[in-house]
Amino acid sequence: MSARVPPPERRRHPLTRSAFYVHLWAGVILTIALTAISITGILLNHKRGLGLMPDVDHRPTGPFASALSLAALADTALRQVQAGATAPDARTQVDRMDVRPRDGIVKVRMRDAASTEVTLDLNTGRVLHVGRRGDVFLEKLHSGEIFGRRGILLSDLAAVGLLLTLLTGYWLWLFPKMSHRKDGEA
Amino acid sequence: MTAGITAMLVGILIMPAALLWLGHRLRRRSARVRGAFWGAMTGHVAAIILGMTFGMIPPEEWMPDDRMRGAFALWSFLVLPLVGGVIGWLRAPSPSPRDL
Repeated sequence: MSARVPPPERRRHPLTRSAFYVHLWAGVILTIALTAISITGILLNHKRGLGLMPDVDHRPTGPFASALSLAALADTALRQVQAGATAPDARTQVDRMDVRPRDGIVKVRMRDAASTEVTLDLNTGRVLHVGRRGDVFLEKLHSGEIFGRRGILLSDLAAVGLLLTLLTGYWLWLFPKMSHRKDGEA
Repeated sequence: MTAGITAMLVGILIMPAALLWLGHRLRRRSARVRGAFWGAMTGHVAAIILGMTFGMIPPEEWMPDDRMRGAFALWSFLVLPLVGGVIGWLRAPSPSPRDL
């Protein structure tokens, strides 16, 4: 019966040891933040297919030069939202306007909980669509902005953690191959 | 920063670190610590699923008297692992006199 030979002592390169612990800790600690960012990212990539963003197919009804003024279009959109609301809120304001001359439309987004968006014809002011922008909340969740202006730091932290995890993972995969090759050459 | 946000940050950043520390050389730890670890781990996994689900409820569906969203999306990451840890600690077999 042969005596049990103890395995040779494995000496790990200090960089490999550090890479292992950075990989482990960053991976475990940032799991939840990275999972949330990944899920919201997938949902945002498919926002049209999931119906999170209204998609209005329209052709221009006149030249861009004869388009109604932004103030008139904003006023029409605001009236439309207040008329359609079950509990009209006089404090509702226009958040932003997205003018699309090629499609002959303007998207007017409101600063309300649902991020309601009204799509109007640029030349006639006709209301083409009224709907909520579900992707605005997902974007805020994705960037961390939902937790305030400092919330984006959490998203930054997760991104840096992901980079570190990727780089250290790559190193942990590559280093044994490099050292085996060196051993083979010696 | 509100208490809920602080609880969520502790739950998603400090709690996994604590679990990782507790899980290091787990087999050498006592039965009670192992029970607490697995209880807390179960609570944390449950919190991830519940927290993610409730955290993605869009703002237009938030209600002023809605307590479920805050409880699950913010507090669950901290509270569920703690509750699970305590349950695991209590349910673990107490050390026999031979082990002492």
